[in-house]
Amino acid sequence: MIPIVLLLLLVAGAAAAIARLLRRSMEQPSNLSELLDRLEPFNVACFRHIASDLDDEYLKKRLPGREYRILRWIRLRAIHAYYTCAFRNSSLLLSYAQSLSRASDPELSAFGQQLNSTAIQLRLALVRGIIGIFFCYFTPLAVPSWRQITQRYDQIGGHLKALCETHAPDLGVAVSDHFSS
Amino acid sequence: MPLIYFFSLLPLPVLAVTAIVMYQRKQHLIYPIFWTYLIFQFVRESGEGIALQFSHKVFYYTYWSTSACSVIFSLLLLRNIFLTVLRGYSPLSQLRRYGYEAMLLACWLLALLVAFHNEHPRTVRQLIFDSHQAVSFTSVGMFVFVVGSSALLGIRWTSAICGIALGLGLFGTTDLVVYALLSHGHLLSNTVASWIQVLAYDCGIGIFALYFVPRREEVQVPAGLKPELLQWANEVRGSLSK
Repeated sequence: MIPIVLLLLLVAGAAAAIARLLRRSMEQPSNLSELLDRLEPFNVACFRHIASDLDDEYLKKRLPGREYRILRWIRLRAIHAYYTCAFRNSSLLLSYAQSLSRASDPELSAFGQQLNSTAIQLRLALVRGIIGIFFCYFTPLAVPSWRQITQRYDQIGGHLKALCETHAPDLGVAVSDHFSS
Repeated sequence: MPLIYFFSLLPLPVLAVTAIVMYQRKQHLIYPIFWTYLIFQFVRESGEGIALQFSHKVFYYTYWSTSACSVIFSLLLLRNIFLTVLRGYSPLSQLRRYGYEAMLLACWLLALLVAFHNEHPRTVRQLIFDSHQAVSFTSVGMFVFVVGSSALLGIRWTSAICGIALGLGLFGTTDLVVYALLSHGHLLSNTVASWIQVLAYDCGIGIFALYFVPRREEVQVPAGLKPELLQWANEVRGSLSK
């Protein structure tokens, strides 16, 4: 029975992979303005506040067990929503960084590689975070990877601000709004 | 001539055209393994057609030896895709170095377990089907791993790499389904299995041609701001701040 289930799972996985390749759905922003339009709002300060271990400790001490568990469940769902949003944003950032790294201008290309490296680190932290948050629903573990995520998000904001200063000064305010920490 | 021979020989001109177009565009230097794979498939198809004219024994040995080489080529191509898409990401260097080989080993062990889990006595025919099922399982497992890891990491593929992976995925998945059905009793007749494989092969070669023969515009590279515009913007900023 198990081998047949494995076979069916693999065939389903292959069909999904083929469908994905046929669709090639990953969005590809062609410029910074388009990237900023497509990025979903992600408030790093609010996220940091929700994910903080200190707040969790404080609530755990002050609230009755049942209320704390309900609140923790709501908190985890909010963090999960933040992670999902950041995950979608990281796809766009990676896609933009990849296209920048192929630019003929060496300065833009170097910037693209720098952004690529930071975006993939954000992506890895998010993968770890999303897997970890699943276990947090059932175990009293601390929220995983949130520090790395906020750190990488801030770094990406810093990179994009630097790009704006040299290549698109009019977009500086929009970048600051999106990546305010 | 039976219709199935016509369909099995149909990819020959398509393979030839794809390989020639790639050579003219110097894409054989960018995708050397894939280009060699196309040449190999051309030789394989022609060789099998010629072998069939001599005797069934010659055809039998030609078919199984070229099938084994084809699987090795598929695994090499998938490895090449994996290494190409992860190039340029320093945080993923460990995954790039060992990920494919580790996964290949795991897939191979799992494939052997799936194919040979029960110890009932096998006929030669069943043994061949089980072996082919194990090989297809490994190949499809690696295909899913390569596509899945890129999707998870958000790495975008060029259309050429998409085309190569799509064709390989189609070959592998069809083989896996057909050999799994053949090895698990008599769920599929030999004629139907042959037709499915021939049509899937034709589709796969068609996909290769579709992705490589017409000229494709790759990703648009964002243009940088013109220097004179940048200078103008800086001047306006400077005058506003005064």
